[in-house]
Amino acid sequence: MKPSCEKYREELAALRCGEPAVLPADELDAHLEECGDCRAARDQGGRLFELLDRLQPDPAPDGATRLRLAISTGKYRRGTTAAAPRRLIPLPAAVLAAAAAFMAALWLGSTINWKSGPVAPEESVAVLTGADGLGTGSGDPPCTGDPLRAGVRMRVAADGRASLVLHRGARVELAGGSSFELRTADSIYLQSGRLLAVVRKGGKPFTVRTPHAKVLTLGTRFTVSADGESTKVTVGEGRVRFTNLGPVNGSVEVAGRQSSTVLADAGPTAPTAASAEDLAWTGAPRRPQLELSLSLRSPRVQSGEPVLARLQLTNRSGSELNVDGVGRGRSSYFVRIEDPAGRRSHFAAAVLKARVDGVRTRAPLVRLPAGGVYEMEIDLSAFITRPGTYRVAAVYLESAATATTDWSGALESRERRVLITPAPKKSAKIRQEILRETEPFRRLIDGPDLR
Amino acid sequence: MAELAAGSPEALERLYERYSRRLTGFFWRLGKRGGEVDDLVHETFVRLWRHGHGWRGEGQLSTYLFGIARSAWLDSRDRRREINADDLRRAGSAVRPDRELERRELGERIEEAVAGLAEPLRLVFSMSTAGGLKYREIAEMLGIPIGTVKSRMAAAEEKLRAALAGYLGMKKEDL
Repeated sequence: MKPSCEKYREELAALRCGEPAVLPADELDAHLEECGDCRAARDQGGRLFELLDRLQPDPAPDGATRLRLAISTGKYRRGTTAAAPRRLIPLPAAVLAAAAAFMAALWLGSTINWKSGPVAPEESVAVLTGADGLGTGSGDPPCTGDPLRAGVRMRVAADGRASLVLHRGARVELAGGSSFELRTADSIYLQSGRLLAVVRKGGKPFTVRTPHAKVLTLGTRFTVSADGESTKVTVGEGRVRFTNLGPVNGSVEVAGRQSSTVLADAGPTAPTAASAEDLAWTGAPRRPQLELSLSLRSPRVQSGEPVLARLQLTNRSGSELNVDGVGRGRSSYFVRIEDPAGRRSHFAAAVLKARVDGVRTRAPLVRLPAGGVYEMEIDLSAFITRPGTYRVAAVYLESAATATTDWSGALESRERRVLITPAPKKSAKIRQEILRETEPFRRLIDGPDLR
Repeated sequence: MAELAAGSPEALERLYERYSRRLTGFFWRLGKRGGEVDDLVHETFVRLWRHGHGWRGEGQLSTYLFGIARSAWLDSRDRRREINADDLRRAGSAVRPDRELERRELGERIEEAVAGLAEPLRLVFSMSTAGGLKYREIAEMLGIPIGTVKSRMAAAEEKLRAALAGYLGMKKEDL
């Protein structure tokens, strides 16, 4: 960056952050007109902010619940105000009074309860976020919003359901007919029935125990089914450690989309691909039937010539899907380019034209009918410049995927190769042109070829 | 805020709804990941609940809240980082689960770039872009001249643009 550009860069950054302008607008415009670097800084800076906003994580979905629980337990007492009564008694006097009270208490043989305020649900380990037919066997059935204490055996009616959030962050859904007990804020005992657990990545480890097995996870989505004879775990996302608690005492790691079973005296079985029914119950994101393809206009391009490609997203599912369009101001479509040296980078594809089933569109969200094709013409010239063979693939990063699923992730096309050939040297080109144009005169001078 | 000072949990929840996203972005830009971000957002609101009565209504509430957030972040820096699932995956397995890693890869590059900023730049950048604080507010909070905020912000942006050149559709030579 040139030193003279410094104040303009600062001004651009400040304007982007909503700060009032300091430099006259005319001066900034005039500089941008003549300085390509600062124009690039302006454009790319905006794109940087978009990417950051887009990729930053959302707040924890159970954050408000966790906060409500934290303050309701009385664990976090509110401090006194600036005009607190403690100021009314001079400090030495307060210390003397406290010491006297302590000695008196000792003398009386009594105990002092150092805690004040509501002590009640210290042993609460979860909050009930939804219940239908949940009972504890005694007293009133718990209601949505109630804190749940450790050590209480609960049962969900055969046609009921229950959902709860443990204080350490795990979310648990229990199917009808399940019998369970919360052990701590990060563990649950499933006597029988079925549960779905969703544990945040980076959160505290979470454990499910059954009469036969233990499932330990650090961040995942999985189901556990238990009956009198066996325990089965199916992992939707992430990875769990599945351990037989019986005499066999084996242990396996079960990865996403796999199942394993522990019997009372055998197992766990080697993880196998989970059934569609089990995966559906884990709520694992279902990938929509989309197909992404990339085709290059020409697999061989002369250096300096445009490298054009066509990107197609085809709806292979039987129903209409909503997909991201290119008119959303931020790209969901990228190209992954591996240069001749083997370095891989991702670039936002510069889209020249976009069509849905042949009709031009710049819509930010595209409704793609069953069998429909969303087609984009893209220009890769800015990223493919030097001679050599490049490998190119298209990547579609979805944020709002479809009308019927909450899937999000990346879809990638098959890789294509494009060879960039060196452009002929200018001098050789000019020489050829001269020879071609002077050929008739040379024939006249040299005479006819009599051979 | 007066309601919060009077001990209204509903007021705290309303503030959570309003500011949790900004705080999440703030901690994320400061290099915190996964559950650490959630824990720090939680910690910030718990501190607000405990000490919110100390706010005298001078200045913006957001400035006060991000002051608390900054303290929570400073306290967390010295704590031992817990092993999380992502760390285990990186350390113990070369298996890339599926194509969704592509998206994660892009996110990781950006996270690395932000984490690679010097701390003074990262703090100013996070406060401004995620917290939405004005330069004047940042300057007051950090006790630095407003011109320093301005230059740090521009420097942070330059460094991030250079680090993420490939994703911003430009070549490094263009910078």
